[in-house]
Amino acid sequence: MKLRILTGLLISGMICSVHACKTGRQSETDAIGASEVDSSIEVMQDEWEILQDMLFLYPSPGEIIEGFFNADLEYKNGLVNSVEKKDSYLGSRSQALNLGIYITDLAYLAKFSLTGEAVDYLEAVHSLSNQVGVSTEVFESLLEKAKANINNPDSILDVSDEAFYQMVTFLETSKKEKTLAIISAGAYIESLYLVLESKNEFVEGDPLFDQICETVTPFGNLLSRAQKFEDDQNVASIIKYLNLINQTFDQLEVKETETTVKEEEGKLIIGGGVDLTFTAENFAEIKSTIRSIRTEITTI
Amino acid sequence: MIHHKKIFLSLFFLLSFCLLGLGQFCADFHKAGDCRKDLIPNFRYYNQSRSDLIKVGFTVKYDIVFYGEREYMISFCTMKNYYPVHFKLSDGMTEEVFYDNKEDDYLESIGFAVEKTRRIMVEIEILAHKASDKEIEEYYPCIGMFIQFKEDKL
Repeated sequence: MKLRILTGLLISGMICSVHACKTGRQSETDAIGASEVDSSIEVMQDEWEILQDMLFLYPSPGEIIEGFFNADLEYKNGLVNSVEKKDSYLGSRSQALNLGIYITDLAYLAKFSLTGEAVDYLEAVHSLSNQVGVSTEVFESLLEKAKANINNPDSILDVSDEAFYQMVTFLETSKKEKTLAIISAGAYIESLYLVLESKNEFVEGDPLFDQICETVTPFGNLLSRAQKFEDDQNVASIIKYLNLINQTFDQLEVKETETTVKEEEGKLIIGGGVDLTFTAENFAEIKSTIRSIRTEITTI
Repeated sequence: MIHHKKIFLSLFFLLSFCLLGLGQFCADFHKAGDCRKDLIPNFRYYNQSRSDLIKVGFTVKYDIVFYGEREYMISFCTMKNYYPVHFKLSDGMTEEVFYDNKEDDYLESIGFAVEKTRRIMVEIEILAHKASDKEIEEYYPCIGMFIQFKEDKL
């Protein structure tokens, strides 16, 4: 009897919300009426609060890896974090950090056309995502697509980027920004780890070291975004990592030229800015710092 | 009894999905909205593109990393009646304004090249010249920011 009543209420609720969805929007191009569906008002007002502050954006791990790849990063066997450990990470902080690491490993393997292994890492990403509260629906269709295109490196790379984008969207709209900050930190730390460990020594003129300098600005934006949630214990702990890394970046030699803006054929040309220079001492210090942090994160 | 429980659980999950879906209302708006009319051959999608809810009278601000030695096209779109879109591009460090589309009769996109990697602040508001009072006061449209790029050694 109780179940019938509950079922009846549920059906009524569904009819109301579908009707509300319909009346709130005349078509796909109409704005949503906040008063139409009671349960959505709180969602949108909370999202609006987020938009009142500056939102710091940063490149995806796939884009970071692509930058290194284009700077002649060489693949080194054994660097990626073993997928065998994925079920051993306990606690939301460790799971989120290692999820970020696996996301970068996935992009790394995809970029080097190791598609079979990349699919294993996509499954690891799927599994850990579930642990940290990302909807499994985000990855299920991507996993199917990856398996169907296992011999196509470009397709696997697209899947890797799409997986990160879908995850970011889900976490933002689910108001799990703290989790996103931790995952992103793991991803960025891993990207530096992979490139630094691929080099045994600093070589002047190696474009890879210039590309490391290109990660300084994205790291800065990641840190700025994470700092909004520094009251959270888990986020505070990864802010410590990011600050340590930033301290090593602060040692890079800076050469600044005046910013200029001119217009040419209807296009703006924004010139000048900051050039960072990498030295052997910087290499040793950053490599040691990243290795230490990454070991701490991935050790069970 | 078990049959009724299965029906109940299925309906429960369907209802939850329906409600949660509203939270992702704008997620891919920039990929499907008017922004797509600015697609340029040989340019690639920049992953820091995004869409969000916006309200008339409020400003959305993004601090975006733009890599150097690249050319970009940034386009904005919103829902019907909420145009024009007013946007500004400023230096992420000094807040020096590089571009204000108010000076260009609210053009919806601008191309620019960046010599050295930098942060650029993007501020956006919708002016809704054709919206009714009700549309302005009671509705939340989407704002899409679509960024494309290509490598371009300056």
